[in-house]
Amino acid sequence: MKLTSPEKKWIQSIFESFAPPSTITEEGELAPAPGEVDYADDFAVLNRHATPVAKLGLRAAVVMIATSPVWTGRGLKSVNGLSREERTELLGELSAHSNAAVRELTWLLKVQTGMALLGVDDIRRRSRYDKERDSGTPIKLRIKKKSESAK
Amino acid sequence: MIGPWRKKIQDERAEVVIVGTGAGGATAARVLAEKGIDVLMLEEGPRLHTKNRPRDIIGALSSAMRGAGTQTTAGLAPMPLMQGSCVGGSTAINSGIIWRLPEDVREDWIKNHGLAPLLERSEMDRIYETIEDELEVETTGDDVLGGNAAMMRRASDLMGLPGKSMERNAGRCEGSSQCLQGCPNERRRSMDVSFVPTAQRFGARLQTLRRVDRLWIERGKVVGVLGSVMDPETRKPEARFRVRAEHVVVSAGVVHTPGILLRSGMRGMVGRRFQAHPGAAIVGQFPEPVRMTFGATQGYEVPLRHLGYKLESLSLPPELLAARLPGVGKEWQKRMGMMDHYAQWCAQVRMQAKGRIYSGPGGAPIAVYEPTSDDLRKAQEAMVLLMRMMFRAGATEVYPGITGLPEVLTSEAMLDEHAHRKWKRGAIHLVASHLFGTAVAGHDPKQSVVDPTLTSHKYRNLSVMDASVFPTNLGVNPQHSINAIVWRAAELLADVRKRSKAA
Ligand SMILES: Cc1cc2nc3c(=O)[nH]c(=O)nc-3n(C[C@H](O)[C@H](O)[C@H](O)COP(=O)(O)OP(=O)(O)OC[C@H]3O[C@@H](n4cnc5c(N)ncnc54)[C@H](O)[C@@H]3O)c2cc1C
Ligand code: SF4
Repeated sequence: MKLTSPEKKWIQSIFESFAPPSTITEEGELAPAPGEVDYADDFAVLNRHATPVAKLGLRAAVVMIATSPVWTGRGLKSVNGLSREERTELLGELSAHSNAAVRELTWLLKVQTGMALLGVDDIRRRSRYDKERDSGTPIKLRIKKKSESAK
Repeated sequence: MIGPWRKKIQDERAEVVIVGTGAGGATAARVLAEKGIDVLMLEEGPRLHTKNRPRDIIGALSSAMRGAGTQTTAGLAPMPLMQGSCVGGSTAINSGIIWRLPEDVREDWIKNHGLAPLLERSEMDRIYETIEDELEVETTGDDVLGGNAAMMRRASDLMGLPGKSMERNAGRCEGSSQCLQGCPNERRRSMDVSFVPTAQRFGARLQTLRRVDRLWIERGKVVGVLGSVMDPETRKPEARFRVRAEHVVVSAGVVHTPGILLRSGMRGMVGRRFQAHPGAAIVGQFPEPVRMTFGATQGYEVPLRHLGYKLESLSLPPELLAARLPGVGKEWQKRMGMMDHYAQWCAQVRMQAKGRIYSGPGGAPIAVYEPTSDDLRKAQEAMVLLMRMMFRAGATEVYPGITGLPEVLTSEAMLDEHAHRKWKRGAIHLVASHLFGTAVAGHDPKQSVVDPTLTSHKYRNLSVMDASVFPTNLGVNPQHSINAIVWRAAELLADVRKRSKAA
């Protein structure tokens, strides 16, 4: 089943709030530029290949978070009615929620966010994951064991 | 599951038709084709050519894994069941870790399940050596160990654990850390680049995007298989096919082999004794760079079989590592800004639990599996040891990923506060990629689906040749045992066919 237009909007705003885009980033922090990641598109790809149960879970996660301002006492509005800062704060709250299903479904969307975010070549480069790749194993392979250093 | 029959039927014939091209199916095809048998391999997934395999994780999961990695057990705490769905099956996405069948398991299977015809020691040794030679099995070299494995080695050395560099079927590994996405230069000898092409060189045929739905049974006899031709884009059925064959080998893996047998009306032990080595992983942040980007995806292990688990280094691509880092917003973004400083290690637990594969709506298999409390105790013990190892190796932050524990641990003392309390079911995010049982082999038809030559007790021209025939789990990585046992069974089948042709 194709994503509806409100679902696409929810996906974009929820996913963006896990890692808010910014033009100025602090030293060492990974932030996408505004519009750099098409979350809805990546979500649609995975959703297409997922098992029927997982498809249901993914859609349920989006709807649950989208409507969470209502059941977390933030008023009668969807996530799109919150500011980005409020959305990020809400996601933090849901990630640590006392209900396991809420926590798990929130985490499911965080997994998707990570996949979409780091799937963008330039963002991956900025994450330092591939930094100095060619220099091989950075950890010294031989360490002195206690018995050896005592000798 | 059973697709709409739209276009006209495509008909094929073969002496032996093999369903699935993973560790089991590819080995059967390679051995039978070499013996001059006319083999047709049917694979539900596509053939992914190495150079064109997607490198990004969404593309990799969608193209090579069943349900893009979303297949799970049923229930309130679903456990992902990872399986490949392309030529090469799960070997096309695995890490190539090689272990021979442990001697205690071999003895148990001979004594308690009657598998002596398959497991004669000198025959097994001959077969292991041939496979190890053909699949280029070597110990992972120090030059390609990479920081993640080297860090685990540091911890193991410091704690006096029996760690070692892994044996892998990737003798010429370049340390590109992309086994899950498919080895970029075919250094890892997964079935799609080894036994499948070898079988083809010996004359076997391969048809991809062919999903076998059920056995073709006429007058109580298996005469072939019936299935659906899958659309390469949507992976939905677009036509139907049937293959008439003198012998059918089902090698569709532990979840889908019983699916096919159940849809074909087979009952008894089909789907029962579903077992696994579920595992979970721990991430740690280190002050110095670790760089998971380089090194064998899995290079170092601490086998603790006597305790019921095995610890392994497991490098993650950044897309999957991100989700393992705590926090949202700025906190998460700060951690993601130093992706070269993380190590990830996992535990594979030899669980005693036995689950079952049922036939669900439309015949789709449903997996039910629940770890026992002793299984969970072992999992907890293994995870605590992994975290301790991380701290000993110098980690400044450890992320347990376990519900009920803090998201971030900063010291061993902090770990100790939580280590002795019993963790709740569902707290550990278990994932299973080593699956066993569901069409087990044995001498007693009441307790097994296939006999000690892997021939069905019910239909004498039907065999099952994959991990579903294993009566128990192993406590070590299973691919090599599957390859070797299927190799022997295929040799025995070739002898039978030769004798019947001569008669
Ligand atoms: C991520 C991952 C890492 C692993 N790492 C290791 C490792 O390092 N070492 C190790 O020893 N083991 C490892 N394993 C386990 C190992 O790969 C499997 O145990 C082994 O491949 C199972 O072999 P199999 O023949 O039973 O099934 P599979 O290899 O899964 O093959 C089954 C094949 O059947 C096909 N199929 C299914 N249904 C149908 C149908 N209806 N019609 C046609 N075709 C069908 C599938 O598409 C698939 O190609 C790993 C597994 C995973 C998932
Ligand atoms: S680590 Fe890289 S080079 Fe080595 S086997 Fe895996 S994918 Fe191939």
